[in-house]
Amino acid sequence: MLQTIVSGLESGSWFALLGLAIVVVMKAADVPNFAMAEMGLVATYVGISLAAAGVPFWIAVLATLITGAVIGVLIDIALMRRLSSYGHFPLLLMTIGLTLALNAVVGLIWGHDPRSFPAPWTGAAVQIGGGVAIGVSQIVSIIVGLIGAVAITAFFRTQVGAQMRAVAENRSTARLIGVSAGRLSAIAWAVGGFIAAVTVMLQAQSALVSTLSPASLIIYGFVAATMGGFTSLLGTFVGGLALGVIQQFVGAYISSAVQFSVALLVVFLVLILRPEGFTKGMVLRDV
Amino acid sequence: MSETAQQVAAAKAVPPGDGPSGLAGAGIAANTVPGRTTGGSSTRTGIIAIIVLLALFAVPFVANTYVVFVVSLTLVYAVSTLGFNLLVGWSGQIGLAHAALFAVGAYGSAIGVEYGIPFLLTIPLAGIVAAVLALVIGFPAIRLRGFFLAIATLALGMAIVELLTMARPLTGGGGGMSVNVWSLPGITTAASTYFVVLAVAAIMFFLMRRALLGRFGRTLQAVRDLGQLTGSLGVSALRYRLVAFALSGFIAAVAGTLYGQLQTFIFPAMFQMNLLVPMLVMVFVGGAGSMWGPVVGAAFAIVLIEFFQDLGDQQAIAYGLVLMLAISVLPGGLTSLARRVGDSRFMARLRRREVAE
Amino acid sequence: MTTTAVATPVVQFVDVQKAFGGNKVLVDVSLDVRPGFTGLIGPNGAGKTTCLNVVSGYLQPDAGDVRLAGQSVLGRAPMEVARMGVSRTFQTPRLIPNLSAVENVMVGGSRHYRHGHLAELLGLPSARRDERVQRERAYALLEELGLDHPDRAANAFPVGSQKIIEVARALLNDPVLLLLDEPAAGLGAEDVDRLVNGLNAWTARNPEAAVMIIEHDLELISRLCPTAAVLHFGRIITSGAPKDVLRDPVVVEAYLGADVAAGD
Repeated sequence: MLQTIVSGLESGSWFALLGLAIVVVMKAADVPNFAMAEMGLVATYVGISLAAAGVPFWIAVLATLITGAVIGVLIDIALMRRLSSYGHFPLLLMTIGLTLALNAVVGLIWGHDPRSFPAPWTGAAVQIGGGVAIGVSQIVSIIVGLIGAVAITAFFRTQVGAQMRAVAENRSTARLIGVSAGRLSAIAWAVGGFIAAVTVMLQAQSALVSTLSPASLIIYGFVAATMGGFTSLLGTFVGGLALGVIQQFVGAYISSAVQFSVALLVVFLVLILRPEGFTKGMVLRDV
Repeated sequence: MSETAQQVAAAKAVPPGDGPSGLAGAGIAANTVPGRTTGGSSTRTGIIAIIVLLALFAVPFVANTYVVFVVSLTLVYAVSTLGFNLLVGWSGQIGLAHAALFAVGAYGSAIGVEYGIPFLLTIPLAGIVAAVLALVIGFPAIRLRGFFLAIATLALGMAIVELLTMARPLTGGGGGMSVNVWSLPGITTAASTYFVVLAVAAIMFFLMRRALLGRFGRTLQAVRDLGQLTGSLGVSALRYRLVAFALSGFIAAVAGTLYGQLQTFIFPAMFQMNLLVPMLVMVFVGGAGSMWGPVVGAAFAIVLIEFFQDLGDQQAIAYGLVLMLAISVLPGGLTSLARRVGDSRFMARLRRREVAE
Repeated sequence: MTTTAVATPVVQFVDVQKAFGGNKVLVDVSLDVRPGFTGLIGPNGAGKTTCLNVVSGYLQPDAGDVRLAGQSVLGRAPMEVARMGVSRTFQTPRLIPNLSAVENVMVGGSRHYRHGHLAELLGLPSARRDERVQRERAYALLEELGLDHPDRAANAFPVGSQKIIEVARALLNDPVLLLLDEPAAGLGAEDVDRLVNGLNAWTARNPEAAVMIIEHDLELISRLCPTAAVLHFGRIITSGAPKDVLRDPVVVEAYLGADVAAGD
């Protein structure tokens, strides 16, 4: 029972973080980025390769994070920005094309075998009475998830974050008052790529990742983002955690075969009942 | 600067409820074939259509089975894209359940035939079932716009494919089911399927052309470009949005029934992202909102798929890169290139005439 | 009832109130709009467009009533109001960019199509006739309003001509009440003349119809409207013949004051 909850919170943290990355990019650049998990995967594989080549763990982590941010900025500048005047459809399709290409690049360079990014604590566990053991990597995922959520919330309280919100509210007006939408979208993509790298790296220090794993991760990230109405950071974070716990319980007590269906059901219910996300009207009406 | 300021001020004065839908539709509008204006061009289109039909009719008599199959598949995709484009291009709604509704057609027909319904009858029946489903899927369109609608419909489409997997007694589950192929007496199965496909494609394109170039298409575009403001034209935006969903679902399923006949064996994994992505590409390449774009898009996708088949592991990267390149170079789709050229030639001629006067 | 009948009002605003947040946009607006032209003038932000939005069903007033030929329009969606015979244009023209001018106008003919889309799909003669009749009416209206090249795509026209197309679209439904939101903004003098002639010709054929015009071009108001009402901070401060209204010191002050404040 407790073990199920902790496992749920662990995977929920990944969903929540990826959901936050999606929301950040959605806010500033108005793109639902289907390639978010793949961006994290590329960054993580860079880190794994460095670690395998004998680079110290923390330096490999740093390299992973920087790679994630750089990929984000590059995608924004090279591909997305010039498309924004053509409306939603090309943007959506571009992120899908990017998903295919990045996934294939990983497969081409690193192959399709599952890999992990072993941390010094991987495999270690904490005994908490009653014969229940909790993996340190699980605790790390949950704590980093929390830190990430707080950091992003704080980020939106900075001047840059406030401008980003202004852009999200009204693009043309924001341009008029002298906010550089280009700089903001680059920052948002960098932050998004950074968080995506954190997410997949957390996944890889606890479990195995491969070219197959982003497909489900991105969907759960979108579920989390949907629960926050694609705008609320709190809703996304809580939604991701809840989704993770629900998934674990469904897997443990019903069947892992219906986990995916349950996630889809959640999306459907949220969109029908509360299209603005389930935190709408609650105290923290979006940071 | 002052012009922009004026526009912003004006935009603010527009009644509430317009903003998001206006934005959502705005960019999709890229390129629509202008409606016929004279009887002469209409006659010419008719003659061209008959010639094309005759040429397509001759294919099984002159080409080998492989070519017949590829042309059949192209036509099936063209019909499917006709429906997808109706939704995405003409009504401006990014609904992403198209692959699932296509699956409903394939499965509906195959199951119907197993229960003794004649195949030809299953084509409209599966279409109607899918149209009703599409209405349910489009229901969030009442409240959601743009990307939110995309996510909702994507989830619902995935749920349909999940249901197909779960309904093991009917569908064979994840393992799939084989399809009874209907055939005309006296000719090969491939040729027979081809003629059915050709007939259905011809009927669908004929009817949709009439609807889209007439009042229905005009009103759909009004709903796409004006959103709630169509209210003051006496037009219910919501009704047209839902009708677009139903109609595109119907067409998707009709194409799906034919797809089942071509593939002869169907399984749920065929109808996931791996199908939805090429479908999106077909709409995009053909040009969202164009009349004949679906044929171009389908042909492009088929060529791409056939061409990259031999690349094996590198297929996906090539596919992704070609897609990215295409979007970067021609954000309005492949057919926008032709239009751009046509436009400039028209402009040049116009300028010449003005100088002459 | 033997007195010569003053035409009964087409639209009546009865003590209409509307506030956005704490911001009162319309305060006790009462106004009778009779057949023919009525001007609605006032400085920017006076609530003129809000008035039109209230009549056409886009906004519900907080209090008061709006009656169209005696029937309240409150609680009705814009589509229902349009079907009751209210047509309007928008401050920034809202056209379908890639359709031709004449097809844009045809979109406005919803009240005149007798056939459904099924008949259209089947190509029934009645549907074809409907379509042909509306196309001819659309061409005729555009010609009357002086628009050249009616088969050109709407986005190929300058903003002024787009406004003309929008007026034609609004007229195609044969409205009993036509609402024009700054129809002359962006038009050249020649185009304004055509617009005035076209509107005059149309009202001559439809003497029962009322036309409400919001316009900053006061000369246009003087030419077209026998009466004009002046809105200022959401109140109707005066109404009457344009030449009298414009000389009214209250109006002059309202305009000058607002202009100074707005700095334009």
